[in-house]
Order: sequence, then structure tokens, then C-alpha cells
Amino acid sequence: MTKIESIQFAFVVSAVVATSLLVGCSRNVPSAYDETDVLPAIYPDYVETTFPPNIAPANFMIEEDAEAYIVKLSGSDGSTICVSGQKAIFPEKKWRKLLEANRGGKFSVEVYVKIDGKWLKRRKYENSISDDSADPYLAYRLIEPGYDYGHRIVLAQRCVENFDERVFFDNRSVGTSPCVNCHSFQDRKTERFLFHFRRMDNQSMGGTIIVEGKSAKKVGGNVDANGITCSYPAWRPTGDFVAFSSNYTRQFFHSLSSQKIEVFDAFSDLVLLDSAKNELTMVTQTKDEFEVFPHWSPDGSTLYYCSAHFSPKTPQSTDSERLEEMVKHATELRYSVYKMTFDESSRTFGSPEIVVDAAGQERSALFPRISPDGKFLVYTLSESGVFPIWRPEADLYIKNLETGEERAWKEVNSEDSDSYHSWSSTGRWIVFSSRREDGQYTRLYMSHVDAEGYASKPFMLPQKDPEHGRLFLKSYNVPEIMVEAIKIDPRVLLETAKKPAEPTRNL
Amino acid sequence: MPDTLSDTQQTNRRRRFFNQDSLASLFFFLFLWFFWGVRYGDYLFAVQENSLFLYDHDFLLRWLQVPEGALCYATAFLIQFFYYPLLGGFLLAAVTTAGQLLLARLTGFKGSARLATFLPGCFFAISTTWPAYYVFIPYNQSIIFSEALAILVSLCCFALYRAFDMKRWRTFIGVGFVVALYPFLGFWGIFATALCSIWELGTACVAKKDRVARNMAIYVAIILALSAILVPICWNWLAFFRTVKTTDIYNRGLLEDIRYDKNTITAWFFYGAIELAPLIILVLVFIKRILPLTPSRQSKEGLSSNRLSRQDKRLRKRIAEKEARRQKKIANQTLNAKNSSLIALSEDEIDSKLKREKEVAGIRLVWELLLVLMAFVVIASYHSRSFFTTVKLTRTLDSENWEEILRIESTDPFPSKAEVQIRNLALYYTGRLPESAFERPIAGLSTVPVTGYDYAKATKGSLWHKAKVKRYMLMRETEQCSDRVLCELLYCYWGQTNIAARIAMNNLIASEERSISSLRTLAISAMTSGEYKLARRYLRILSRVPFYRDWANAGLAYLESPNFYSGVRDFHNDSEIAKLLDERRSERPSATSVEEAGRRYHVSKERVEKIASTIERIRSLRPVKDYVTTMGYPNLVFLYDLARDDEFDDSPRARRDIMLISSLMRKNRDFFLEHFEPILKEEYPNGGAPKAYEQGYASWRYQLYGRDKWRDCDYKFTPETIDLFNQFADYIDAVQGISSVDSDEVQEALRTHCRGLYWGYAGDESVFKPY
Repeated sequence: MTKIESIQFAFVVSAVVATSLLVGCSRNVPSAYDETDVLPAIYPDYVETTFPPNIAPANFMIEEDAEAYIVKLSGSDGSTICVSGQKAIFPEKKWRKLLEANRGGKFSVEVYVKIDGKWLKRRKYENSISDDSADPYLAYRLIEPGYDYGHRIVLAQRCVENFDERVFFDNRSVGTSPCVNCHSFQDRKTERFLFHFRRMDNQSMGGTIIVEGKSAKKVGGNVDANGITCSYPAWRPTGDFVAFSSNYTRQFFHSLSSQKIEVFDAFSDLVLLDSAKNELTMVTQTKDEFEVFPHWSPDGSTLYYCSAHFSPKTPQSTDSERLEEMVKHATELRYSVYKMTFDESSRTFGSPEIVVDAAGQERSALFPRISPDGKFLVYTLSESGVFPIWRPEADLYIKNLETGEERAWKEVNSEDSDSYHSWSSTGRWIVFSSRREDGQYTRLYMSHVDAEGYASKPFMLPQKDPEHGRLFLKSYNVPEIMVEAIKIDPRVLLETAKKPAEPTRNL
Repeated sequence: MPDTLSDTQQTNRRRRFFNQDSLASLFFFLFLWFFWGVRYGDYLFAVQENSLFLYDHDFLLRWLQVPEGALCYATAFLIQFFYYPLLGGFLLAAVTTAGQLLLARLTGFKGSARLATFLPGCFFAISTTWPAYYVFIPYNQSIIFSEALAILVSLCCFALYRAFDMKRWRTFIGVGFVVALYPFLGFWGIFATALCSIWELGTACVAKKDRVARNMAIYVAIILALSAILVPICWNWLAFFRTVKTTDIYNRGLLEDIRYDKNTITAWFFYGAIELAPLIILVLVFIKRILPLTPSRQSKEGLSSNRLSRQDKRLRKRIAEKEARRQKKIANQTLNAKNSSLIALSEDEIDSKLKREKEVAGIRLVWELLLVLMAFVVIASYHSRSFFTTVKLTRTLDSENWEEILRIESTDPFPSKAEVQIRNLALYYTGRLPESAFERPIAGLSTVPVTGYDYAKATKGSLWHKAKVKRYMLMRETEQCSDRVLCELLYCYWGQTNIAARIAMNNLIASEERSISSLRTLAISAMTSGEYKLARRYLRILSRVPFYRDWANAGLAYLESPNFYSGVRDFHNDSEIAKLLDERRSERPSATSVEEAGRRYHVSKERVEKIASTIERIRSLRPVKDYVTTMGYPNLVFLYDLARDDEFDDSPRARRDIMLISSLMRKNRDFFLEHFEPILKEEYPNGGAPKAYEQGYASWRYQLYGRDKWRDCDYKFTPETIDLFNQFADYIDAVQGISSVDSDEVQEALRTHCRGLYWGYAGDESVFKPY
């Protein structure tokens, strides 16, 4: 290339760059537009909500038929982000800078749409940025809302600060798609956690996989000769103890109701596992009381759980007669929240005390979760039953344990099922699963909780493709907040799953 | 331009061969097009309904999570065109023929040897049709059809490999195939490298004298073979595909997706055919390498051998004699015989004629063998008549053309379970269920069953009867069409929308969320039960599928129309919640009319109205009350449990017909008589009840009052019923009670003599024989 050619080339390149920059800037902010008083229709609904300062870009799509779209985010410090297109995808670096610079403040969102050659500006709105960071990781199960075995189920970890999602266990890697469920972390850390692994083709190969640092073991977990296995777990915040409920779960189906399925427990009790010694102790063993969903208080001194009462009309009935009767009366099973004190040295529990008398109000209270400061109890309230995820009326309720005041958490509830929830380590954020999208597919929502227990408008966990929530045909199940990433190599989990389970000793 | 006459002749001959070869390939293409596009056209349509392709980033990424995912993605793209079976057949035939042409070019086989290059395509064609019996089982359909593309890609890789002369480059490229392609093409990445390895092995065999070249070829072959084995393991160690079981690393596709017993005739054919195609390619490539002889060289060299010389002499003698005979004949026939030139043929002319005759014989042999090959494909891909009728009916069901369904179904003398299910629905929707419910056999297999006598003889050791029983078992196994996918839509049409949604969801899961038919059933089910948001989810996904866009948009428009919520009621246990949900629903429609809703989604009013009428028809069939079941589904063949007996009084007349027919099918005499007699008095006081009712009524009266008194009632039976019933009674008298006769024989006799009557007759439980 001669010198002249080089100069010509440089000139052309700079002209192209300059033109594109000019075009880009002029495109970003329309100079002429009509203002409208209508809020933009966007999906997911990120209008007038509160974000943690470390959240991934809240990308959204504009649900209007238009020729062009421009979205402008402006922080109170003057920083802006402009993007175009029906899907507003914000650059991660710029988004992070905007949130950091306006931490504790607000940023405004302006949406411009071009219809019939004319730019319209939709009503500007503001989102808040909290001072409180959210814990960076979430663990959940991805599963289709099906009614049979044979699903592909994965346990995944998601970093909420970006879009990084990693599968740490995939059920298809082992056998014929075994069921994988109920992951539980000790005090939101990933040093110790567990999940269940059940094989329909070879039940003896099933068990509970318990992770200790970077190693793992599989524990049998059979409670009695009926083969009832440990189900819903709760790690004690310190020590080796894990409380489980042991459930004999059954289901039946509705012919017409939009609630297509009813899941109920024909038996359930509480057990305590010493994860170091593989020793199981029965905590409750009552035929007419169904204890379920254990949860430890933050200091590990009290065990919260739910319990319902059922007495068959004929006390001497056989198990099958009892089951038949239960199918008829399953919708009458109502659970209340109880608590028991725990003495670690003797492994004994105190007498049950009622915390939320939901059964007395002909309702069913489930999934009790205490905030890290021990001040609030959040639970799911439904009309009846033990499986609120399929119940459209299920809502979250909050109880102030200091004042005894309890109320429906209207700020976060929707007209469809709002069920499983998890507190952040600071107690300022809560993640919960909700079927508000369509009553069928569960999505994750986050909400900020203030010192008085009031929550901000929940927002759907951001995804890179804002349409993901609509197109993805799996549910986000059992969200658990974690303060750190999972350390164990997924291949170790896989190898552990393939090994025979270590036996447990029933005390 | 050829310089000499000899060159010209050779060029012409090559051209002729080339033309013959091209013609054979063209003929093969046309055959495959007919085979897939016409003969298996309805099957192709069913395949695309059980598949899904979305122009979506996430959709691609989900495929790429497994080896062969990219290949399946590309195949899924092709499968969407099976919506038009002729187009789908054309694409399949084109890809398969392209593979054959490339293989022919790479191996250089000419003449009859070239026929071997057609074999992989033939086995591929066979392998695509054998899983057809399982088209109604949800699994990864793309796997089956991906072989054609995979062979083409592998052969392209091999061609690229051969284009390089330097061994080092070749080794690098050969290893590169498995490294680069395994994550995307799975087994076929291994196969591409294996082709290169086998080629080098052939080189080593050929280069006997050149030790350096031989050793080099052996080293390269070993390196390539080792990389074909080890690289996939490394890929899996790298944990890209943790979903792949160790045993499946070298498997074709993820064959565990094909959910049937491997010890069946279907599986033998399928696995045999699918494994043979790549094996044949490997063998051909190896043969080509170790026998580097073209037919022209072969013939030249062959002429010098003694054997060919003797053959040549025989042919020469025959040509000379033939020519002499011809000349003599001409001489006799021609008036000016003296002028005719009866000159003996020269040696050159004989040579030329000899060559021509050999060419003609060769060409004839090629075409004959090609025809044999095609016949083999057709025979080896045997499917029963009921299979073809079932897939045809399934396709017709899409258009809701009930009359056409009944016409198609009537052409099959031995309808399958799936056919009967569709027929029952068509009968109901055309209002002919009470008239024609029992006119045709209720369900069966095409294979004529062996009798109890055959079984007894087989058990006693008779080889002939053992073979007969074995054949029956094998044939029957191929005919057991599962209705798992089909029945979801049927349940929906019968108003069992919650059951339909349950089955459709399970099917969707089994097909890895890639099934148009399941998504459609879920959408219809949600629309029927007024689940606005859920219906929108499924319809939005379907609106991204080109051939279903209009249907989905019409559905979306219907959701916005005011009649979407008419006839929808919530059945929540809590009446207050149910009322609240109903109120919320009534507030939702955003369009004031169907036209407005249609305009919003750019679909015609007629299309929206068509969906509306379908949904309204389904709604009218929904159960009256909500009830619960622990398991089991209503029976679509015998119509059990589609409507509960206790809903009889609350149901409209059309729904009562289902209950009455169902009571006849399950021989519930008391229910039938209790509910039918009042209808009889009210609606048919002087006779003329629908045939099934009348015959059922007659049979119950026969059972209650015997042969002499069954007609002693106010109702006047038609002469046809009386005649048929007398035949039936004669038959019973002749065999002295049904219980003494083999059940198959009874079934056959009842069908022959009295058609529908036997369903109402309770003489022997074995008469009622559900398949």
C-alpha cells in the first residue's frame, strides 16, 4: 500500500466511523416526538420496582407493534444507557456502572416507539436501586410441570449478577431419568448441601447425596420397612444435623378444575439425620398427625414445621382403606405452623407449640421460613392441602414474631400461586416462585424487604433474552439463595450418584 | 477435443456410461420421492407434527447440549417441510441421492458395481419407515431422519481429506474431523475420521512393495483410528455432554430415545438397516482402495485372461450365428435378394458388436438390479394396511373433516385401536353414533390370529404350528400402534381437557418440548377451559412455526374475542375463589367482536370462527361436575368413563348418547334399560330407533325373555333387526351356547351374522374381548 493509499484508507475509515457515530447518536434520542401519558407495555414488568445494586441487566421487550424502538435509562448522576430494538438488551458493563453510580437512588426509563413514521414517547417511569446487595447466587431445579416420571430434571446454579447459569446435576446422566429433588444448603453456604436422588428402575440405588466441601456421599435414608424415604430437608445452620419430613406422597386429578392435580400426603413424620454418623432418629411418629416442611430458626435452637390432623372414620381401617378415605377427604387436610425447641446434646425436642393456627381458620399454612434476624416468619397460605404450587389461591403471608402481627403479603402476591420462598443472608431480599405468568410455569421473583417487613414490587429474575420467561417450557422450582458458588465438581456428584448408598442406622 | 477416433469412441462411451449412471440416480431419486412423498406421505406429516423447529437462539442452544444436536437441529429444519409431504419427500430424496452420487464419485464404481452405492440410501429408506409404527410415541424424530444429512456431510469430509496430498496435512485434517465434528454431529464425526482411516488402511494394503509408503499409511491409519476412539471420550471427559452415558459415546444418535423393545422384529429391521448404511460405505471405500480397478481397465485386462477369452469366443460365435440368421431372413424376405449384400461380418465388426452387446447386457443388468433393489426397499419396509389408514386418518383429523374420516376408515376391514378411536369421534360429531356405533369391528389387528387349536398343537411340539404362532406374534408386534400422542387430541375433542392436557404435557416432556401436536393440544385444552394466559403461552410459541402461524394467530385472536369466556366456569373447591376467578375472566376480553380480534392478529374472521366453533363444541362435551380420579383414563375404544353415569340427568341429549352407547359396550344392562326405555317411549313410540340402540335393546330383551318372547313389547323392531337377530339365535342354537365355542370364532361369527348385536349380548364374558 502506497502512502497515498494509506491516507485514503485512513480517511475512509474515519469517515465511516464518524458517520456511524453520528447516526448512532441521532438514532438513540429522537429529537422530535409526541409525549403520551400511557406507561409502556413491557415484558417482564420492570416498571416502578426496586433492584439490588448487583443485579444482572433487567432486559425487557416492548409489547407494541411499532417500526422502531428506543429505550433510554438515565441515572440521577447523569449517566445514561441508550438501546434500540423491540428487545431492550442493556450492555452488562454499562448497566453495572449505572447501578453502582446510583446505588440507593433511582434511575428513569424512557421508552420511545415509532408508529406510522412518528416517534411517541411513553410515560417516563423510575426504578429504585436499593443500598442492599442481594446474595449473588441462586440454586433451583428446572423441571416441566408434568404429572409423570421420566422428566429431564436439572439442578442449576445461577449468578444473579450476570446471566451465568450452570447445571450441577443432570438426572439423565444416571440411569433412566431418576427424580432429583429437594436441594438444601446449610446456612446458604455451599460447603454443605444435599439433594435427593430417586431411581424408579432401581430403588436401592436411590438415596440422599450429601456434599461436604469438595467430596460427596450417598446415604440410603430409608426410615422404615415401608421404604418411606426422607423428603423435605432442612440443614441446621450449624453442626451435622438435618431435619427431614418423611412423606408418603400421593396424587389425584381433577376432571374440570383449572387446578388439574391434587397432591397429598397419606402419612408424614419428622426425622433427624446426623449426617456425620448416618444415624436417623424419629422426631415424631404419629399416625393421625402429618408433620412436614421442617425449618430451623437462624440460631438452630428451634425447629419450625407444619402439621395437619387426620383421623379416619374407622380407626381400625387398613392402609388401603385409609388411603381411599384420604383421597375423598384430601382437600380437607389443613396444616398449621408449629415449633419445637431442640437440645443438641440429647438430640431431643420440646413440646410442639402452635405458631400460625391456619387450620383453625380453615386454611393451610406451609413452607415456614424465618428471616435471618429471627424477626419475621413468611409462609404460604392456601385453602387446603400440602402442595400449594398447584393452587392458584396460594399466597405469601408474613408474621412479625416479635409483635405477633400477621398479614397477607399483598405487595408480592398475585392472582396465581405464589409459593416457595427463600430469604437472603441479610434478610433484605426474598426470592420466591410464582405462577403469575400463566398459572402453570413457575418463574422466580425477587423483592426487597424493609425493616418493617414491607416488600417492594417484585420483579422477575432477569434473563438475557427478555422473552425467555414466555418461551421456556420448564418451571423454576425450589429457589434457594446462596452466598457463594457451588464448589464441588459436578462429575463428583455424578460419580457419587452412581455408587451404592451408604446405609443409615435407625436409632 | 479428442484427437483420434479411438479417443472419441472412449469419450462417447464414458458419456454413455455417465448418462446411464445419471439416469439410474435420477430413477432412484424419483423412486425415493414417491416412496417418502406418496407412500409414506401421511407418515411424514405425522412426523412433522411430533417435531418442532423454532428460529430462535435458545432453541438452537438447547439442541447443542448433546452430540449430534447440530445434526438434529438441521434435520428438524428439514422436517418442518414435511407439512407438505411431497416437498418433504423431495428434500429427503434429494439429500439421499446427493449422498449416493457423492459416494459413487468418491469410489469411482461404474456399471453394475455402482449399484453398491445405492445400498446406503436403500437401508436409510428402510430405517426411516420402521419406527413409523411408533410415530405416535413421543421421541426425538430428528434422529431417525438425520442419517441422510450425516452421510452427505461425512462423505464431503472424506472428499476434502482425499483432496490433500501431503500425509501430514491429511492426518491433521482426519483427526480434525472427529475433534471438530463430534460435538455437533456425534457418531458421524467419528465416522468421517473412520472413513479416512479405512482409506489409509487400504493404501497400506495396496502399497506392498513400497515399504516406506506402507508404513506411513499404517501409522496414519492407526492415528486416525485411535483419534476416532479417544477424542469422543476426551470430549465427554471435558464434561461438555454430561448427559451422555459412557455406553452411548459411540452410539448412533442417542438411540435410547427410541423407546421400544430391542428384541422385536421392528427393532431388528430398524437397527439392522440403520447400522448397515455406514458399514456399507466403509466397506465400499476400503474395497475401492484395495481394488483400484475401473471397469474399463477391468475389461481390458480381463480380455487377456483365459476365462474371459473363452467367454468372448462363445459370445463371438453367438453374434456371428445371430448375424447369419438375420441376413438369411432378410434375404428370404427381400424381393431383390440377389442385390442384397450378404457379406459375412468382419472381425472388427464382430468386436464392435460384441462390445455393444456387452454394454447393453451390462445396462440391462444395472436396471434389473436397481429394480430389485427398489422392490427390496418396498418389501423390507412392510407396513400393515391399518397403519397406512391410521396415519391417513390422523392427518384428516387435523382438518376436522368427519365425513372423510368415516370414508377412509371404512376402507380398512381390520381397523386398529387408533382407527376405532377416531371413528367413534367422527360418528359422534356427525350425529351417527347411535346409528352406526357397532357396524364395524371395534378394534383389531390386520394379522389373522392363530386359533387355540394352533396354540395347542404348537405346545405339543408341532413345528408347523410353532412357526405359525411365532409368525403371528412377530407380525402382531409390528402392528401395535401406540396411540399415546394421538389420544391427547382425541381426549380433548371428547371434552376431557384436563386429561388431554396431562397426557399432552407428558408427551411434550418426552419429546424434549419439541412437539407441535402436544403444544397444540395444550393450547386447545387451555382455550377450552378458559386459561387465557396459559393458552397465550402455547399459541405464541406455535405462532413462530411457519406452517402453524395462521392457526396460532387465529387462536390468539379468539382469546381476545368476547365469546372466549362464554360457557367457561371455574370449578375451584372454594366457591368464593371460583366466583372471583370467573369475575376476573369476564373482565379480560379486549376486543368487542371476532372481526376486531381477527384484525389485530391479521387473520380472517372465518379462521377465528372456525376455532371458536371447535372450542364451543368441545366445551359442550365437558363433564358437568368436577370429579377426581387417582389414575387411569377413559377408554376411547369402548367409550367408558367419557361421561359418568350419574351425570345422565344433567347432560344434554347428545351427551346422553355417549352414556347409552357406553353402557351397551360395557354390557351394563340395567343402566341401559333404565335410561333407554323412557327415551324409547318418548322419542320412538312406533319404532325407528337408531340401529345400535334397537339392536342392543333386542339383545337385552332376548337375554331377559328368551327367543320366543323377546319381541313382546310395544316397540316395533325393524325387519332387518328381526332377521339379524334370528340369525344370531340360530347360531347360538347351532353351537349350543356361546361358552362352548372358541372366543375368536364367536367374535368372527357375531360380526358376520349380527354385527352390533353381540355388544349387548351378555351370554359369555369372552365375547367381550378388548384388544
